[in-house]
Amino acid sequence: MIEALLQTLLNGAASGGVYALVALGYTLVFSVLGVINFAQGALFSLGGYLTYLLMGGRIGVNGALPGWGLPAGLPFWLALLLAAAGSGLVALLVERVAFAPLRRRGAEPLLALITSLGAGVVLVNLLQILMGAEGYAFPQESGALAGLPEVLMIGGARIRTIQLLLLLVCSAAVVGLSLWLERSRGGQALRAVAEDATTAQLLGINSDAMVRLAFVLSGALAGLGGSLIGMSVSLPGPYFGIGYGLKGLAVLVLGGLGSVPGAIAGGLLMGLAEALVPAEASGWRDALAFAILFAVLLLRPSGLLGRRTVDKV
Amino acid sequence: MSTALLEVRDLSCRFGGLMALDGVSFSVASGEIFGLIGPNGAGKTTLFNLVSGLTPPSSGSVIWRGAAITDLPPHRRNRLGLARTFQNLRLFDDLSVLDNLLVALERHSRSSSIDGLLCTARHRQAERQRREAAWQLLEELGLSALADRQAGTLAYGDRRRLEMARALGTDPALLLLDEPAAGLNPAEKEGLCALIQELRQRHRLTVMIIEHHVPLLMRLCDRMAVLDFGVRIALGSPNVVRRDPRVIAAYLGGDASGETP
Repeated sequence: MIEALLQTLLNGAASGGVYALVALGYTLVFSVLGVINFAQGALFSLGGYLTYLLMGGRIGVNGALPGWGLPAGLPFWLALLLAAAGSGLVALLVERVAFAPLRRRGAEPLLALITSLGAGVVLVNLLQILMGAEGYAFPQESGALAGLPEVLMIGGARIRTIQLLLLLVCSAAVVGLSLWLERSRGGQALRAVAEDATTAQLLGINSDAMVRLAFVLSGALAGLGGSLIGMSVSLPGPYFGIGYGLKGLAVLVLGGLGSVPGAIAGGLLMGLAEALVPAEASGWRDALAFAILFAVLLLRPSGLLGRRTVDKV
Repeated sequence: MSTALLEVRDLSCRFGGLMALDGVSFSVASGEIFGLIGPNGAGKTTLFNLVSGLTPPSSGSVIWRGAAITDLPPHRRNRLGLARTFQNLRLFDDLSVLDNLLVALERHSRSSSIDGLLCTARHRQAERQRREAAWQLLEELGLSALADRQAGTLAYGDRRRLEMARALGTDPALLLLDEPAAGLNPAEKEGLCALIQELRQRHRLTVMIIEHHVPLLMRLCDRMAVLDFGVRIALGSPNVVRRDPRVIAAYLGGDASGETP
């Protein structure tokens, strides 16, 4: 009984960690621009596919180049980092195409919701054209678990090793990002831009560069999440990131728009709540997740750790 | 008054049908306190926005130490040595007083982000220097007791001084002050006057100041320009400006000069 609970909690924390990554990505962009980047889910998918390819995975029969793959695969950890970087660069491209032109022309910020959604649709469809709609499983021989047992015994409980790794990587990313925001000069500059971009510029901070940095970081977080889910489950198709993107959005609202601790707490809460749904009722998982969201919003309209007012004049 | 630190040449700015500034020219010499006065809506703040780079001019140029900076974005102008404060104060209200200053001192640190992540000796050294510089400025402006307070919770006069401290943190050669005395009581205004002169000495500043309180400005400034409806109607020492018939007309609503701009 205790073992089952421990297993459940770990599962919940692991998926909660991934939700937190996605939500943090939204938070970074939201805090500097005040808008949601709806391409986040597509970047999540992209990360998973990049990792798959970098590990030496082959393109399936429905892809543009059936059977094609890299001559040699990289070990999972290296592929993971490169895929995160790749997703970050594509996020930069999304900023260039879907956000920057609107800002330059002083357009209504809400329009970026549509343009970023469009960028996401294009990305996912590109993935589908190139890789086909079929599912992919990561090559196991160079996977995260290479050399590790599949199941660990902790306190008498059988724990899937991959879940533990997932949790560790998410924690490292979240802690690293929080420390960077809190302590480093770059993080401080980013927070200054988030509070008031104009004033930050007058203090010598290149606000545009900070906006681009926020996009790169948020894309990298999404790519990281997609790769981890791909490793722990598989890639069920190019659209799989969209679901995580929506879940991340729910977590963002649950935790409080623009709040870093809120995104982390919201992610964990959501993941744990889902994990507590028994397997035979797994169809109710999403229903429970969104029921929690509604309940929290009824009691605290600004989210768990959000500010009371978010309106800017 | 040999070298001009800042020069604005034929600067115009049009907002739709409104000519906010119309062919304004003058130069500010290194080390002087230069006043900018004029009735409400004369274009004073617009001029500051053009000089600091927040608004692009419709025509004309801004020249810094002899080179045009008209096309530079605000952060590049700040790095050249141009800092400003706002009439309606723009502090980072959620950050502490100390952090407000640290943001301004950000670019003076010589350590990179990599240094920061690895906490190298160079990073720790740079951090220490940055904090020392911040504390020194807090001390200078009488804010050190408030260092840990959230900026949004400070009293009005303290907020004004914090905004000045923060601008000074970027180590400017020219400080643009937009109505620094607004909302201060007479005693505080006197204190501000002394403070500005003191800061000019210690930081070897050139100061450009917009102020509605004309007597204060007359005492403080070496030279001043008067704007009315976007046009520069007078330029010179306070004594000259004070007697200019066009200035008297603009302020008293009369028509002493016989011509309206």
